[in-house]
Amino acid sequence: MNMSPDSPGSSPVVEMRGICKSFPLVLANDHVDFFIYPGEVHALLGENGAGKTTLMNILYGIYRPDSGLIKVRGAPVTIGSPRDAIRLGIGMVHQDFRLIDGHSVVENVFLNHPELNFLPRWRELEGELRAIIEGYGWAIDPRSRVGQLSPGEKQQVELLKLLVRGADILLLDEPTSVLTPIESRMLFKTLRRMAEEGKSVVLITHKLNEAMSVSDRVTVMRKGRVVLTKPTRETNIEELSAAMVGINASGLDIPLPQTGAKERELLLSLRGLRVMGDKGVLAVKGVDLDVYGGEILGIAGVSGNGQVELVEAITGIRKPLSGRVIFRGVEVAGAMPRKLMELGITYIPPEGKKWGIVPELSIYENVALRVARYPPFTGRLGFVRWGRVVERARKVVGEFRVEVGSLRSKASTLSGGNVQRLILGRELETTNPRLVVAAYPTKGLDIAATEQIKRVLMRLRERGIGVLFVSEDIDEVLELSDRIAVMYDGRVVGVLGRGEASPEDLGALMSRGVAVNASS
Amino acid sequence: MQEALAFVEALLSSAVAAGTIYLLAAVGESITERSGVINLGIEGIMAIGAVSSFLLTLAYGHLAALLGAAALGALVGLFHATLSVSLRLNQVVVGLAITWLGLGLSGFVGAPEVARYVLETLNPAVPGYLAELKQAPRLQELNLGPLSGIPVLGRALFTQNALVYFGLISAVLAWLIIFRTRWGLSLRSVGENPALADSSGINVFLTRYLALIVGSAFAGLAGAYLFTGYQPFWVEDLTRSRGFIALSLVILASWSPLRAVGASLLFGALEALQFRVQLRGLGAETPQLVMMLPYLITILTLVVVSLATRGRIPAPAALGKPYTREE
Amino acid sequence: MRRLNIPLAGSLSIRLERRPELSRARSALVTLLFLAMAFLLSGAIFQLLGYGALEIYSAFGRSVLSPTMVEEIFRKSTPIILAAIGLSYSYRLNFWNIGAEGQLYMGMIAATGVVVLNYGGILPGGPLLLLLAVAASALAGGLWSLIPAALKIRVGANEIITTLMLNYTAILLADYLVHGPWKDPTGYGFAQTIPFPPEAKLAPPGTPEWAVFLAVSAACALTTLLVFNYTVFGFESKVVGLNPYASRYAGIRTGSVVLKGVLISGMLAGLAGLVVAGNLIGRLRPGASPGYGYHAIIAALLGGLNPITVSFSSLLFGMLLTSGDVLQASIQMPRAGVKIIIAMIFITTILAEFWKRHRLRIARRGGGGG
Repeated sequence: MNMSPDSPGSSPVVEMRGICKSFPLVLANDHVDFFIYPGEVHALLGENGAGKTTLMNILYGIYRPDSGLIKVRGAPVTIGSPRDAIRLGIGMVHQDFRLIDGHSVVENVFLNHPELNFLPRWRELEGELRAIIEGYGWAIDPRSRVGQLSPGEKQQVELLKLLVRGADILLLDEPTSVLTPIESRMLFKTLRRMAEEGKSVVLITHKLNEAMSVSDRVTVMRKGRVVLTKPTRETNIEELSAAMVGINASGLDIPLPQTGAKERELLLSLRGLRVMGDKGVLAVKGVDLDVYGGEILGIAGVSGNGQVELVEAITGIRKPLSGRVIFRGVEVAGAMPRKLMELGITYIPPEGKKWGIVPELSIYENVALRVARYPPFTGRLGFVRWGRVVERARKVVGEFRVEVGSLRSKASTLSGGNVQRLILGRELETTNPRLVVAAYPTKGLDIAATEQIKRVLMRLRERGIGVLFVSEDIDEVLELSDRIAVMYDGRVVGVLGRGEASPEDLGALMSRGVAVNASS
Repeated sequence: MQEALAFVEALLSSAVAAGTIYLLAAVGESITERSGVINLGIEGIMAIGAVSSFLLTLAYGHLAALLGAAALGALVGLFHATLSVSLRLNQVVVGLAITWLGLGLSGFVGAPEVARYVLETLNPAVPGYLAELKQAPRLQELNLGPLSGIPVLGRALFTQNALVYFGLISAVLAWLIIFRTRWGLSLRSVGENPALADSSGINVFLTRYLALIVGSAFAGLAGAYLFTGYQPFWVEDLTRSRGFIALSLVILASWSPLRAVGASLLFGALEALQFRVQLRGLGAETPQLVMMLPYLITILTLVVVSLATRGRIPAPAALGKPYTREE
Repeated sequence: MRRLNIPLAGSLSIRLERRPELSRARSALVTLLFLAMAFLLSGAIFQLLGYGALEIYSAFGRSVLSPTMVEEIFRKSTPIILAAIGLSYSYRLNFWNIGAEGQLYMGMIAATGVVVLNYGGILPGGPLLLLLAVAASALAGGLWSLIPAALKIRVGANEIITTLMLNYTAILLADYLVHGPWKDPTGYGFAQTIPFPPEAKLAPPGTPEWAVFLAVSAACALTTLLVFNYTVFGFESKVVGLNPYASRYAGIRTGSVVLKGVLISGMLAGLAGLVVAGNLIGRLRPGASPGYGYHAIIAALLGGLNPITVSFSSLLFGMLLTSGDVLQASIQMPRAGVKIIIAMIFITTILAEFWKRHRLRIARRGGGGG
């Protein structure tokens, strides 16, 4: 029963028209039109920040649109909460699994199900699940503990949750980010089965080849707008890639390369580095890379391709699985952050507010956070010379334009941008680094803060310090880097010099990496 | 051989009797902790339960005493919940404060002059001096006829008072409810992942309130049992930290009311043993070393459990953390 | 501002909003108000239970003001001050040390041990005796506190339970020693040890006791203030207590910081034990401590972990304890009444802290999801 949009007489099961949604700093959805037909797998493509997740969150009732119309099965609806969405037959599977590891599959699936009895007949429910499981060719046992399942299996449990509540419009947010290739294949088989059954599936993804291989139609979003909507077989990877990266949208203005190339010292060498990710999947799959003093090496790539894990392995937050990390001739793979700081590597973590500072402490105490035990901040007998700390804090705050009332106020009062400036300033002024590693340093910051951070990074280069930074923003990477390394699927798939990098090359490398056969 | 059997029989009987103190408290606390709240006020609530059962028994008899103790416990549980669930104050601090209050109140009310006054207020028909004697009629053992004739087990299991059986039945019922019913599934989810439970439509606050109230009612009942069923002579430190031992017991029992039966039997046996060892002349003059056993064994079991689970104790994941709905 | 919603009936809800930081003056005012509330509430309880609240408080007031009482108050406060200052090291680290009482008892036992050994001729007398007693009591208390600390670090054993269990163990140990091997042979059969010779007491003959106590307490408080605010250890323990993850990122060796802090707590509690056994009572006997260790816990929490305010709240407790004795003697109020007042103070202080950070507003339920 193929009710694809091509077949006559099929009307969309979900219509979203003119959806607008903005958040304090950003316009996430800008007059978006989006249609879902019964029996189709629809890929929603775009980079991070393109607005695709926001759009689906609106459909799922997590957000309310500022304006626009939503119709489900022809009738206009207001979706105020996920409960409303489920009642309409819409279900969403998020990237982070919302499951209880200690409970069994059947318990997770039927948690607070409206038709669950007081004394549930667990055997019957297990049987019900087994029927669905076998129908899709899965292999999970309803009685097993969710904590023992693989990510792919956990995803199946999430799907079960939706199916038993009668969902036939399924939204999946980047489902393959935690799956192995085999599990991904399994998932796609399942999705096609669901489509054949007449269900609709929306696949939110940034991976081009996936979109090409499994979907019936594809929509590309960029910077909050729909750029393209086509049946999949009428388009190709190049067209989609161009649409995602937007080379036609705005001319990229590459500033002239900065002078100041000093004698370049080899600071950091990575050889065959492999790092495990959080969810038991290998995130960095063998990286070779060199970083020199006096240069900015930007790591470009859509987030989730191993960049953060790579950076964490270099800075001691995460222990690498194998491979070598050599800093100025010293083997440092697996060393603690403290040691690395002493050697001259400093790390500006993403989301500085969470990990880089202690919000309850004052500003000057935060400046001293990593270095209180070293001279010149320490006197004899282990006393802290707060005078020196305050002096240094004042310098940091002044030079890096951290907006504070008083140095005594708690760090929790700082805005995100100021936190980032503080951390940057602290790291640079107190730890004397030779290599600065920064992950998404301008994420969530306003324009002024962003510009300032960029300037700081460029100044570092002039002082002969090496900078390794990770960013998702191609424009930013192009603007700052002397060299650009693109990461895709845990590997560095290309290292381009400033003059060599055209936005098209970059875009292609970022969104599909090494060319992968569509059927795999 | 006869003697040995008699010894075992007597020991078992005492173990069950003593163990019920821990069991009642532990069953209640398992329910509370399964919802993610730790109730450090058990000790204080037990004390309140004990002293109130003392005076209520004299005033109105056992039924009133038990109901009253449970009701008072529930009331304190409500107070606890207001502070720790709604106001999201630190559960440890609130629990300790409640324990202090409970111990203070019970010591105060149990003192002869006050006890007398309270008794006379409760029931003017009962002579006040009875309170000053610090005793009350003991809860009688039930007569279960031929069952008590069974050798060894008979005396142990079938000649106990009603609360002992209540404790055992509660443990089984609690286990059934927690692990086999819809309520129980919701309860456990609140304790594991309140955010998920909340988004699934479960009322996290109501669940935690109820869990605290029920758990505290049980603690009050445990105190009532301690006095009326086990040791009907009032002294100021009647509870002797048993409430805290019950907390440790819950960990040992992996938060399962059924396992709590076994664990409380163990601790009941320890108590019974220490008394008997004294009688037998071992350390008769210096019983303190034997009295240390329950406390040392508690530490030991805690360490063993931590080691066995390699530090990842199977506690409800959200235990002790106040829940705030992200707006 | 973070807001918490407590749904009421219908569409109303109580909103709890974060209050902007209060000035020092206002903050102190709130504390005092809530403190007053504690006394009021306790008074109400006493009234309900047949005691005239006015009677109690006037007796309390009288007792506090007489000069002999003041000295007694000071004596009773000193062990609490010492133990409470010690506890602030643990609590700064977020280590829930409930074991001050047991550590205090171990201090008493160790000090008594030194005295007994001296009596038996094994240890020398003279001024050295005091030194040995101080060292022994501090060491014993420290070791007793290290056990739960090590268990927590190595195995993750909950410190609330382990410290508490060790309390009872220590008390029973003292009981045993006093009834058994250390029983005073000339003591008319009472369960107590031989009295402490004057040179083993913290205030040697000739110096007024209160002066020595004041000096020791002040020294403790000031040193702790120094350590907390001006040493690397003080800073690092603050970070560990606030945010263990950040402390790792900051390169702090969490385990050793915790061990050091808890050790100091135990040592100070042990020292408090020396004061109790040596000066307050003069020997070791059952029930030597009417819960000084527990009072210290509340004093430490009340004092907000600042050694100066901790000392003052300890003084308050000393006052309460002393008046408890007086009230018992004069109007036969049971000593447990003092516990009630203390518990009320505890509760109202918790509420006061909450009040300082939040305020209540009744509002109509806002529109739908975000």
